[in-house]
Amino acid sequence: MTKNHRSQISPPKWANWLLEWYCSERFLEEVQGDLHEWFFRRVERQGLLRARLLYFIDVIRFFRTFRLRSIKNSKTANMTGHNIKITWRSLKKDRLSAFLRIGNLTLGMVCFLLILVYVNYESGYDQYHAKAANTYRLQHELRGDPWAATPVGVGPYALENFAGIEEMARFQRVSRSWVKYQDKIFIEGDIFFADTSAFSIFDFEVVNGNSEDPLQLVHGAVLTESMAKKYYGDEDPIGKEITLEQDRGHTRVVTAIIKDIDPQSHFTFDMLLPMHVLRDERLREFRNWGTYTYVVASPEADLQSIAAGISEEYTRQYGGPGVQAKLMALTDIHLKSNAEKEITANSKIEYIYILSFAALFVLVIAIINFANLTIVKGVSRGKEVGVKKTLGALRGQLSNQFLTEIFTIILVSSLISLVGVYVVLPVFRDFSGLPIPLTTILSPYILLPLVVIILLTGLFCGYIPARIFSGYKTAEVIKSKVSGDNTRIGITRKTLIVVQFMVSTVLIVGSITIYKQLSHIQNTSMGFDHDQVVTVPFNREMRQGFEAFRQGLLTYASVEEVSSSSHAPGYRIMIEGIRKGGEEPEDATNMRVVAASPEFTKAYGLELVAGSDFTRSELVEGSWEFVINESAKQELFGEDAAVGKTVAWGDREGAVVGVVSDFNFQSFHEAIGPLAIIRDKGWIRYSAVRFNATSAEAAVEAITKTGETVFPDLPPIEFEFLDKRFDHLYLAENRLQAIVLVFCIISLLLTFSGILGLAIFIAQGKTKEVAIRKVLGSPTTRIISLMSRSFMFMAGVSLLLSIPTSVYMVNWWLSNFAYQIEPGMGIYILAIVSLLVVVFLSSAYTTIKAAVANPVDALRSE
Amino acid sequence: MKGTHLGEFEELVLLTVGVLEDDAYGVTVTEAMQEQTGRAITISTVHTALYRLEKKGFVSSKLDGATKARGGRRKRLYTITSAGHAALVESRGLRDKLWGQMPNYQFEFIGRL
Repeated sequence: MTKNHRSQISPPKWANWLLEWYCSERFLEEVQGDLHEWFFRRVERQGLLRARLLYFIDVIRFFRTFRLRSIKNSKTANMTGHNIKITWRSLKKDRLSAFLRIGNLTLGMVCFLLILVYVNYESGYDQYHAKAANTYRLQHELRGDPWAATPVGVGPYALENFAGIEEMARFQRVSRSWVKYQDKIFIEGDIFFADTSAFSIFDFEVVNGNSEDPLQLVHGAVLTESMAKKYYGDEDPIGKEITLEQDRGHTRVVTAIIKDIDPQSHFTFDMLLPMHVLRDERLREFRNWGTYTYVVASPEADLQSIAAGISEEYTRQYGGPGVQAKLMALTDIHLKSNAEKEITANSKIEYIYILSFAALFVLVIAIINFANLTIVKGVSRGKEVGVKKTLGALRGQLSNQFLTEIFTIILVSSLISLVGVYVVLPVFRDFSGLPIPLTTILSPYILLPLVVIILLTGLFCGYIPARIFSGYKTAEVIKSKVSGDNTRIGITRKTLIVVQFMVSTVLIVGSITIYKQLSHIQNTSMGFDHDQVVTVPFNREMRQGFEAFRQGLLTYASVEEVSSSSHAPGYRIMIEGIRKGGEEPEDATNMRVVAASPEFTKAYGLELVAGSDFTRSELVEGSWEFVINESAKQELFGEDAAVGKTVAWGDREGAVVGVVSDFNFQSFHEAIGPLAIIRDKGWIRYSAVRFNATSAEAAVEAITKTGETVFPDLPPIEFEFLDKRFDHLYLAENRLQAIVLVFCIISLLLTFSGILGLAIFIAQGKTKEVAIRKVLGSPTTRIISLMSRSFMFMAGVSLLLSIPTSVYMVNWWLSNFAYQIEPGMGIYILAIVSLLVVVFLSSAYTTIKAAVANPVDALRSE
Repeated sequence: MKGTHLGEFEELVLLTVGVLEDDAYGVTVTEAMQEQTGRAITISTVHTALYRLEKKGFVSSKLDGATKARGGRRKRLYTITSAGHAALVESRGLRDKLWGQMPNYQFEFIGRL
């Protein structure tokens, strides 16, 4: 501002420029004149600096709509209008090219935006709590294996001993049982005991009743809205009684109703009960690991030293090291925690990566297609450029014309793709099972990346070609000298095609691998016959009736065997220490342990490889029998025979009567671990019903009828087919598999349409060459091979580059699975062949068309 | 009604244009009004008022009189029209009529003298 001080007293230039920019010519002269005059008067009175500032303020003040420059009369607006008109005409003139370009870009964008919506939703879990950023779940590692649940006492210990921990709340699941109000009785599985502080840490919104301290009343209960609706209909639930099986005859009072838990949470519940019903000593125990402990740490707290301190307490409590405390950020749980005893199964960040990569690849393929088609299209318009230049068009104007054209197409495509996402999202929502709100599309997390895509695509596909085309030399274009293979354009085009082939190959290889691995998971033998088993969960009140239930079921011809057990395959099985007879408890090996009735092995169809099944006769009080799997035998006895040796679990010691082959009792993500089955028919939480292969429906009827007879006062019996259960365990994989398949097809489609488009335009440019060759006697096959050669060469180069990349990526992904497929040559050969076929088909199609055409047609006009 | 209504500010501007005779344009009108009323008046509001007055037919304008201080730009000079004059007279008549009906108030001065 002071630069011009001495030399010249004048109003600020940029303010003048602003005025000239917005003010229409009708008013400019008088306004600017008055302002200048006013400015010089001000300089005298108030000094230059103030005058200049006030001048600027006045310019802003003069900004009135009636003074605005009319858009119709501006020069740039005129040219833009003209350019848009030309764009429209050129699109209309070549419909195929317009369709390919817009279609390609739209398809790529829809895929990308859809996955963006999905990723955005998946990574936004638990963030709606105000304290989310400082909330952690206390958990631990037992010899490297992560556990989500903690002993109940670790929460109070952490709160009292570490200044960095400000608040603490615990949740403990109430085992599956019935809930009753008057004549309404249902089985409920999502009920938790919780500390009163839960309402301070988490933002559960109280809509009715005590909002100050909803869990304060010892015999109170907090229900979600839909739960209240289920039991009380339109009545006001506050103060009404509710009976739970676990309260053993006592009734509770509903104290508050909260909004249904946001499904974007790592766990949801239907009802909360106050935890302080238990005595304080009970709430400080370090025995069972069944409590989920959440803490709020102060922002400056040293999390590592807190974790170390808690680990020391574990060492003190358990008399030795081995349990390491960890603090898991609340917002990371959904994607990054895959611990033992998770409240509900979480998602996996690897899936997010896979889908993001796939979406990005599809987008890149689409953009490259778009760029290539644009370049080829531009080449064919060399004459237009030449003529315009002859008539005096400036390079900038021509370049503006191309840019306008490209940005128009990109904007149109992105608008169509937004609409497309809006249309496809409900389908995607049903498919993924995630209640993604439609409004997500308009969130900045989606729109900002879209703007970035538009700009990058515009610059990449628009700016560079626009520079090249507008720089054509008039004489050369008119003589068509610019589209050869070794010009700048030719090389750019070839590079892009090679990159595109590469990306396609990686995507195809990746898709096939993922697809094969995921089907492998489902088709591999489970190690036991799991498709003829129904699992029936048993709660406390049903236990007495098990024997009657079993006998009742066995009268049906469709039922083969009925067993009871503490845990069931497909659900979590507890981990306990098992040792060889005579060893100290410290030497025990951790393994999964199931307590089961003697019919267990037969009911689940386990295969005995050594020894015999459990004896069916009653055992002497205090004596035990074990059946172990092969992994457990290997762990405990190595190569020695196990049958007849004694093993012990706590104070229960007994002989191993049989060894069963390894069977997959959990998920394929984990290797089959050692498992011990102890004969104990008193611990009944699950019953397994084995039915005839042909009579699934009869078995269902048998179970329902027997349930009604044996438990007349209880709600209808629940059951689940074991194969369905395992399907459910692989739900995420199944969905991923389907999405990947769709992506694979889309990427092939894009590659195909891209190459087809290119081949058509290149063939168009070579019609005369083909015709002349034909006239001179070249056979059609020779012409086709000549034309496809350069595509094949580019495909070859890209394969050389893409195969190592895909080998690396495939191996990285497969290393996540306990049961891997051998990727093998097959996948790569399949990918290579499918790419080459696509390349050949699309390039051959057009060349054949040119080659079989009558050469006279092509040569007639010159 | 809206087309010919004369607002308070517009009335002042119109009066000033009348007073300034042949030399009424944005700068002089603003300056004269600042001096006469002692209010802080911005040039852009005066401009807007002048445009409106012209639209209503109370003033007419022509472009003329470039000076060096204006960087050679012409000014839009305003003169009052007969319709403008009539509007002023009407407005004054209304005020006089109201003044005639005003009772003779005797306000006491409290705590001052």
